[in-house]
Amino acid sequence: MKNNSKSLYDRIPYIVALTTYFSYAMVICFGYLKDFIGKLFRRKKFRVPQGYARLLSDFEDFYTRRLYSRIRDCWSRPVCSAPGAYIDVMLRDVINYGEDLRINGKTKRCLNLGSYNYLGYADVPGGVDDQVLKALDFYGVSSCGTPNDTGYTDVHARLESLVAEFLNRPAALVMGMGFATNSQIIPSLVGPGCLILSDELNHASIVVGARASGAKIKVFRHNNPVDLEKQLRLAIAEGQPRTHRPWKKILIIVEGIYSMEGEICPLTEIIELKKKYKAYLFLDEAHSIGALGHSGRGVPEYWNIPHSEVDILMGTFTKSFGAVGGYIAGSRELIEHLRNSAPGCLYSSSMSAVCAQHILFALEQIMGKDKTDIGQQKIVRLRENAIMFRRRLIELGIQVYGDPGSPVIPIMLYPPAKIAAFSRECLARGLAVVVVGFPATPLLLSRARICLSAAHTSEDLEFALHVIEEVAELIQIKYNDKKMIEIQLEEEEEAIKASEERAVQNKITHSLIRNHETIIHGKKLLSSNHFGHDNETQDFNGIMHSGRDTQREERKTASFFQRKWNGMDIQWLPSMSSSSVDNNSHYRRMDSSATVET
Amino acid sequence: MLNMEPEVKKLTVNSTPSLRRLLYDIWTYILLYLDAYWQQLRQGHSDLLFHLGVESFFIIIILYLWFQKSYEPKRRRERLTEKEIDNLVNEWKPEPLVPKRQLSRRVREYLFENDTYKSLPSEIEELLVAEHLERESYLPSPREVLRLQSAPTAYCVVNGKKVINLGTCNFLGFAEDDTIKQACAEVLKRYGCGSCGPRGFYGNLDVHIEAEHRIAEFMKAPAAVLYSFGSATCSSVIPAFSKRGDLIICDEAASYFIQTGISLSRASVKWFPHNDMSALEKILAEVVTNDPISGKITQRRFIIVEGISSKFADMTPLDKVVELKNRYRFRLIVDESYSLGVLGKTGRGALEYFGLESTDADIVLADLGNAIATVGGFCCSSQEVANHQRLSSAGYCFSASQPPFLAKACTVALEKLQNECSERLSQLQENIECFQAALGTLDGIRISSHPKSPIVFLRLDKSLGSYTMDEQWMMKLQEALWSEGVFVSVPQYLANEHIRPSPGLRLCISSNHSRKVLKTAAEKIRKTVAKLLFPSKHVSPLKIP
Ligand SMILES: Cc1ncc(COP(=O)(O)O)c(C=O)c1O
Repeated sequence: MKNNSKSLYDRIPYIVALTTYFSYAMVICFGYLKDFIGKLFRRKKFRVPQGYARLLSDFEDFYTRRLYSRIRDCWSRPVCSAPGAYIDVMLRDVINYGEDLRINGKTKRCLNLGSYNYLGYADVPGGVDDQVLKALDFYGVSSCGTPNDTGYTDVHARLESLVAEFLNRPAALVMGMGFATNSQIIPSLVGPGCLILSDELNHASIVVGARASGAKIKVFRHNNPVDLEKQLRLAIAEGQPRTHRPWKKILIIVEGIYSMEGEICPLTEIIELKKKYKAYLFLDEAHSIGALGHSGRGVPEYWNIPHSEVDILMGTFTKSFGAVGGYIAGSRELIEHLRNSAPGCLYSSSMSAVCAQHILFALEQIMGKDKTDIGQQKIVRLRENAIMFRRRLIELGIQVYGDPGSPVIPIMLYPPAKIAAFSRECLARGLAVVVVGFPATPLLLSRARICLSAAHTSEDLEFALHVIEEVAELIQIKYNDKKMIEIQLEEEEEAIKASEERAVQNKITHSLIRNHETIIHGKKLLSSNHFGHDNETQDFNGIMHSGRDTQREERKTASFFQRKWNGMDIQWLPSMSSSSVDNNSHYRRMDSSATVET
Repeated sequence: MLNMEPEVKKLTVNSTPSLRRLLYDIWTYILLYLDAYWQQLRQGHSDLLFHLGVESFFIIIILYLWFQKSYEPKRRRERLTEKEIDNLVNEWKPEPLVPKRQLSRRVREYLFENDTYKSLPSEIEELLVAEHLERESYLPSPREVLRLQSAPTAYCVVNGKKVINLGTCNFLGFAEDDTIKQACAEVLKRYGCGSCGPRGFYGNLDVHIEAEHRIAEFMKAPAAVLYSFGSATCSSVIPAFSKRGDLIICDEAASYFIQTGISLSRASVKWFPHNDMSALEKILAEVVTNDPISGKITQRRFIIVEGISSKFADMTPLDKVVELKNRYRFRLIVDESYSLGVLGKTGRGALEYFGLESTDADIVLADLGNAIATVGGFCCSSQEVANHQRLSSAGYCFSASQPPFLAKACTVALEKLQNECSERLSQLQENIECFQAALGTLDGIRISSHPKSPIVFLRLDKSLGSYTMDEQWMMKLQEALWSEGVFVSVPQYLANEHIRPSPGLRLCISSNHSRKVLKTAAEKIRKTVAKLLFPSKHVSPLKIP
């Protein structure tokens, strides 16, 4: 098994590491000195109300005042346009060394390398599709209910079945926020007596979910299957701490693309381990869905692994789909279980139907259901952009991290002063980039993060490269020498070749499966004169594309508890449901009594 | 010397050379030391005897302490061989990812087939007993999702049928308001749907800033922070301000997400009985008795309450809570999710209802998914608290910002509320009064609600025998009501809630309902409940062995 343990720290030159530590030390020393003087002369600012404890812990407060506020203009820049290829950044005046920022009314149009707009669905022509506006009109802004009770509309149902189809899984559920999908679903998968093995660089939402679950959490080295195996063996051998009883279940949680590193998870090895050690796998595809794989189906497709090998597929709609929310896809039982026992489904509000409609629009394009190849083009475009941009950055001698093909490309900056310098200089030259430093990254590894998009044209990227080169020269972040560049370019080539080979293979198998499926699907449709899952009820004029008028009759008598025994009605076929209704005459009675009063 | 050499060599190539080496060195030094004493003693230095005595005494004490510790029966970890681990791996049988849910299915089938509950088949009874014993492994029953096929208006279409809507929390009718929709459509056209980034990274649109200003202005608070999801608000804000070692005093019936926030914060927590002010006072007094006289405290202390309880629809006496909090110097967090836009003269919520200001509480939270009818949440507080959240509240920092059109919906809704508050609020209050009067009291049913609360819970007076039974019964009632033409909600509660209310029916009243509609709905509910509870008029079926 490959040991992927190349560490982020390996490449940092000693002298740079030294200066980085030194600059933090300087800032902190001066900060404390200032605080000391401040406490002597400006007591009021530091006073705590009598009888109360300080609300903010000392270090947090210190960090914000003395480090963050100095360069706070690099973050939370207000924007007054859609987050497309270009954005209008509203400029701000810095007041009193960063104590406050004031919007000064000027805006600057910048090339957007900061938003997670991977497939460019953040600004489709006209803002959004017409269907989305119609959905707003028909369903209102929000349904004011919870997904498993009163807030579940037709659009949600169709979105869920489409997501399931997209990921080749029997069922899916959607939620109103990606963060909450993780943090409110994981607690109903595992609980006390279970073990979570989590990648050390997993996203905060996963950490929150894991902690809320009450399960024991162990962390394995980032993208390192060798360490994962070691931990798995140890865990199974030792059992639960103290009691030494065997674990109830073990859940491995990994991400598809790590958002701060741009690395793709070694899914093949992890699946092997998961099978060998009977653990379950939770894959968070927040950044990889839509962005990886030749048809945008995420990391499993990238590694040529069937989606069914992953127990729980999670992803968000915030990135590639340009909306908001998250999904979980998996087996029917899993989804049924989650729908009925996850706090996110029981207590949270459901996604706005408007967003759901936008996602449907994007997903239909990606899947080619709109009979165009716009979606496919976007995927290809994104991949080309990502590969080209990475290569060019490496050629410049800039240290980048991550795997080729990932639309997230971190540029390593290291010393804290360069965080601000890079961000400000880029903004001045019309480039909006994201920079991150401690505590979002380890102290040493401050970086800038480039997010590429299918909306970028090659001219845009040329311009971006030009600016980055200039800035890199200016602030001296070309840490790689000639030899390093060559090595990295070679590695790059290899990885790209391998992934292309996999893609070709995948396409072959995929087309075989497709043919097979259409045959089966056709048979099913023939065997039942009812409507299939993609012709679900359409109650408002023309929003639903796949409506057929002949089905109106059936819909009128649509069973109240359609979803009853066949669980989620994804790929709902009446032939199945009638058999289950037969067991239970009560429903039939109810169904026939249900008529539309209009 | 000669035979020492190979010994040393052997030690250095050993697997743990450093420790052995160290011990060896120490031993040599001790020998040398003793040897030196012995030499001097032989030469007749008598005062050395005293030295020797004292030093050996200390050495003995040190050794005694040392060995006392190390002589504890220390179990050395027995290393398993790889083969043994392989065997263990082969033997290990994990639980299935999805737990079985046999019981609720069976009960459900049974309940839905039979109209009375006089006798249960023995196997179901056995299952119920098993459920009772294995509380933890119990899971909510599977339920079907009702499909809303229209906006959540006064009348809505559910599963193909037009029904009176008492199911959604659209208290002020903002979900289908035309001005709001129009504003949203404009924003959608201009900004697209999503914001594609967290607030920190170019997801900070001017509409968000505007919404925050509007919220702060509306709530009369110094600052407001907008969250993209209501339920993530309190579970992010609470851990941002309390850590291990801090203290939280919380109402027992607080919502699930408050409980999650508390458990995430790792602070110690004390629960007081729902709305029991004397119990609260007792706890507070007990906490402060141990405080130092100087008044210097390092423990952050919070009281967390809800304005209108999400589980019982009654109101927390906030005036009393604020008084207690000030007296005992606690900070107060109030969740106004169900009271925002409902209570108070201008709709600011429960604090206003009690004649208090938003600043009387340190943090005011609310879900925007109810009366304001968008998706999101906010947190009002001082500027300092708001700034801190922007850096350390997980749900704010690590999640994409609210879609701009939803933020706009919030802005416009609050504007409308400010402008037309008297009409909408008084309409809502009238409706609530009218509905509660029309509903009256029901035999066998406990109605829990405050006279001014827009949500009303109907719960069984007497359990049918088990939680599952009750829950399934409620769902049956929901279904029956649907066929009668009333859409209601049956919230489910998780087994690991701190306090798990018995299953109930939740009715939500909106200002958009007409009096006639509400009266019809109340009548239908009365009838259906009676029909289901007492199928044959005089025999009470509420006898389960
Ligand atoms: C891996 C991962 N999971 C979940 C999320 C949260 O998604 P959302 O922004 O939709 O809340 C993110 C967002 O950054 C993420 O990177």
